[in-house]
Amino acid sequence: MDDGRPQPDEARLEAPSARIYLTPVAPPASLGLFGFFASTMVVSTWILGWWGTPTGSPPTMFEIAAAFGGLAQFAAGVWSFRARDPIGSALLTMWGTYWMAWGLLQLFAAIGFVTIPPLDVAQPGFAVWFIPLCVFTTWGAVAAVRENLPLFTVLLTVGVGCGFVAGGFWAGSSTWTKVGAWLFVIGACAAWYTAAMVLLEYAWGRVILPFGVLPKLMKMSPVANRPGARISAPVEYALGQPGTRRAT
Amino acid sequence: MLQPVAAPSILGYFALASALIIYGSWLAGWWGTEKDTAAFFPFLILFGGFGQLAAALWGYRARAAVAAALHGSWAAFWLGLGLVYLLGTTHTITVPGRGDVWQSMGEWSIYFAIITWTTAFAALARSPLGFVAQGLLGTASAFAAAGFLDGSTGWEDLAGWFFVAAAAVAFATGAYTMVSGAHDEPVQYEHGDPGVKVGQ
Repeated sequence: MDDGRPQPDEARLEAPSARIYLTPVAPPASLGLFGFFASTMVVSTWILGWWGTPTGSPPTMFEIAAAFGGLAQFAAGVWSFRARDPIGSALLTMWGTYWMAWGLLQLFAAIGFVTIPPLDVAQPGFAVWFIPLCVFTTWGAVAAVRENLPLFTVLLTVGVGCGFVAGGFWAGSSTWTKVGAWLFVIGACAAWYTAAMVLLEYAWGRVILPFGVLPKLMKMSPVANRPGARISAPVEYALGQPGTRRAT
Repeated sequence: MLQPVAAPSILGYFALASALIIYGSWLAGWWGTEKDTAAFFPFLILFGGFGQLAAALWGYRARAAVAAALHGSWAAFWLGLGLVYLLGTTHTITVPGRGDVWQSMGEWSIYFAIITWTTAFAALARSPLGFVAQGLLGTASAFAAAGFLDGSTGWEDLAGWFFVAAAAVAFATGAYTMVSGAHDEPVQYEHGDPGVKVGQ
């Protein structure tokens, strides 16, 4: 409407057409899930009493958990934004922060700032950590119903496991905590499978480990269940530097 | 939009090889005593750890899935192990010595062996040298697991030798990648700033 007032210059310009840049990146989920796998296996099997001692093991156990399950998984989660992965960006980042926080707690215990009680003593202050972890991880499983079975298995077992662990630490019940730890072990094994499945398909350019796609329910083609099948067609400038093509 | 970057695996393999040769030769008993961990842990943290972490994160942009997974994992290992030795140096914790049972490190070594063999198989698709380096590294981790869990200097010595062998092949892999990059045919302007042309 021309009301006689001066118009800004840009008002006379045509609206620029929108552009969307798609930038390929390597899949961040592999590193994140490897970190989750190793950290969860080490700590869960320790909780289950497969190795170590209740107070002797944590001082030399938490450091790599904080770096691998923590920092590395967190970084992979942040890169998942660029990979346009809503599940990875939320949950890898969240679990990365968990492992860093757990490492910090263990560091404070090693220094003597805090005392961590044994499993059969109630620790409500630690139990509450697992309530949001339970809710958001389980919700991630709901979203993963559209992705693939290995990822769904990771999120469901770990999400439910968090519920048991929360109850176990709240009530001081080592039985509940160990049920949760068993679920974590299953989830960790599924995490290794998922990480390897994604990594090997990307590196070899074809399916090596089946993706576990349920037809009609999940987004990917069931072809992804067949080893040797090609399910991706990367855009590459074959002679260029890394980034313009896939690299080693 | 495709964005070219320098190959991050050069830095990644150089940092990995550097940390491995120091730690592996020490673990094998070629030199030093328990007290020397206080001298070399900063290098493990900063080059083996942060150096590889930088390579891993640039690996995403470079579309290098193996580099991101391998160097990200081993960056975490060196950061964690370096922190263990830091806390040991400050007498905050007691760190087992060579030949002592060290169950937690034995457990970690099991999973690093599994992960590294996985990345080795992935590397086989494009990089035979990378496959050998990672295969040796995964095997070294398995021997280290046996050594730490059993408190056996024999297994630890063997692990140390394999760490050194992995370091040698990792160095060769990084060196080959650096030299072979000269044969890329990059998209660039002849007179642009760095990034618009290749190099500085």
